[in-house]
Amino acid sequence: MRWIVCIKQVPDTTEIRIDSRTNNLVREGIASIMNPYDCHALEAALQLRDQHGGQVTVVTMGPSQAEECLRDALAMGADEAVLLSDPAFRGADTLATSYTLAAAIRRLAPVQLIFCGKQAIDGDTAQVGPELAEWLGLPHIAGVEYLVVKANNITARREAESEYYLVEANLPALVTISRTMNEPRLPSVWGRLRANRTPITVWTGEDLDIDPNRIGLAGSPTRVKRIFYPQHQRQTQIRQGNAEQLSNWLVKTLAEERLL
Amino acid sequence: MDFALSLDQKGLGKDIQEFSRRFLAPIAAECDEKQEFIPTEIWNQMACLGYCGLPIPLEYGGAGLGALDTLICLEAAGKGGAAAGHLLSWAVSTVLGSIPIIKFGTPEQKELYLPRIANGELICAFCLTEPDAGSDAGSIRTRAERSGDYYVLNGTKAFITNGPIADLCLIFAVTDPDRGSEGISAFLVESSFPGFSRGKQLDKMGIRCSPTGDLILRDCLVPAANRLGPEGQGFKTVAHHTLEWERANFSFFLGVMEYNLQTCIKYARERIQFKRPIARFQAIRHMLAEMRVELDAARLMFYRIGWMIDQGLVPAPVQASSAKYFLTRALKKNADYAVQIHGANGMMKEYPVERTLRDYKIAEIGGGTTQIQLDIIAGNIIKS
Repeated sequence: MRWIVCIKQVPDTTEIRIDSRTNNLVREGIASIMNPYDCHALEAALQLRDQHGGQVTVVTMGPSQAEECLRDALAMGADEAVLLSDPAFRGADTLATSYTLAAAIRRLAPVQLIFCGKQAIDGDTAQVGPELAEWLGLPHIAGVEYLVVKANNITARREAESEYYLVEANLPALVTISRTMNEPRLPSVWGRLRANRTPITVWTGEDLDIDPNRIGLAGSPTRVKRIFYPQHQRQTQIRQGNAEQLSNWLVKTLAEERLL
Repeated sequence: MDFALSLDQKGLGKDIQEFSRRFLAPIAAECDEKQEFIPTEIWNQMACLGYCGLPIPLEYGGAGLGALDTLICLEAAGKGGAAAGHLLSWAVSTVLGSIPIIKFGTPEQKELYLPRIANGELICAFCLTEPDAGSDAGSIRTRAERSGDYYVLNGTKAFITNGPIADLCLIFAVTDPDRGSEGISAFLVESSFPGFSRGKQLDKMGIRCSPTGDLILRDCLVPAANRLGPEGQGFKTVAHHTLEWERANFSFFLGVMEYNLQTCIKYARERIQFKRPIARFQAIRHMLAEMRVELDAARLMFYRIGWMIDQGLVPAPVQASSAKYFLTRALKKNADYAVQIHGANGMMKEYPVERTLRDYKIAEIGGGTTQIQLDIIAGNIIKS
């Protein structure tokens, strides 16, 4: 029984800085970490494995240094790790990324459940998970904060703006995990030492059954036109009047600004 | 010569720093205020993660790390913002509690105690100092007299780190008063042994998160099987061969210094005076640069000690004392500058840097004073 977790290495954006001249992220000296959402996805998979048995396989696509986040996943308790690394994968958008991941997961079949973080903190698109499910022809449940697996079935609660949905699906399926779902475990010393002694499987394009036109930059229809730092502006107005006048004015102003 | 950290060292350091940031840093100020040790549930979690048995061999439930790896772990916990007092107590229990047993214990002693240190059940203390035997450690008066299968211990141990909470105390006592320091033996004394009692927890200026107190032995009955090492070898062998580890234990202060430095860099970038961040002013920049240089030098000296222990290049009294001497100087300046860079804010308890200015003093006194370190260095270099 195989539980797959797709993870991504991202720059640690807790202390992000933007070059004021070029408007680009300052990447020098910024550490790389496992996308925090993916830590929650991995934790969810580890808990299911501990309940139901089987093994947790983590998969990432990236340059060779992405091995570091695979080691972190192994240290937390994943059983095996696969790195998809090939110069031809470079420049992939979410479509090409999910296509490549899907090819790798087909090689890992049969799988029980695929876990992704709901989104990555660098691009914040939240697209790769659902796209991956489409490539594989599997049902997906996005933004899951609670789930139960019974026999061949998953019941999951997914968050929405002001309500939540209880969704059922047949396995195999794909879930994307919200950060409210759990508290990811920290690696133990033994886990870390074991992780550093576990070989990591590396697959290039040649190891996968893929169409070269669908991977990397060639397979990516998305074009980033510009990255900019959003302007935050405050427009303060100080009004005087009684409660009725003020509330009328407030409602009217908010409506004019299309905020109501 | 290779200065790069290994994959294990990088990974363990990252994990422990994150643990410290998540669980120890948030409780530091309150525990400092109330003089409290690490709460039990966090201590148990540390044990589950392997932190209570860092240098204990795998077969006894430990992590089986060498000296350099162990001190890098201690350093990492400091980097995460934990209180120095918590780290001191942890290091004393985990390292000074286990190393003498690992090196000199019988198979039975190892079997009995090491797994329970590693699983967090036993907190340890290293008990040499007495009211009238501080730097002159060879002049202790606590007596241990053989009586059948037992030794009867009488005396008082003073200023003992973990004294108020320790379950297992390594106590040095005189078995043969005519032989001076060669008449001293070491004993593994459980706090449940009859005749063992504790003084009250002492109210301290710094390292308030590390409970300190006296231990009182009144006809304390210790099984002869609990003597560690041969009779008369407590000081000359057990204590002496633990010296390098005793110094290396202070490596958590390397992490404390790094945490202070990073806190200061962040503050200096954000604090605006004369219409610009104070990080633009040479006076501030030079303080930050000095902090960095001296931390780096202290770190290299400590890593060398860890490496020497791992290579079996001990005893290394000059290198060990030099490392601790230099760390102490660098730490004193680091603590002072950290408060200075923060200005009036630096004196406020809501900022973490003021604590180091109180905590650093232990490094000049505990584990051999600065003056004793210089004596050891001078004695060795002049002799040779």
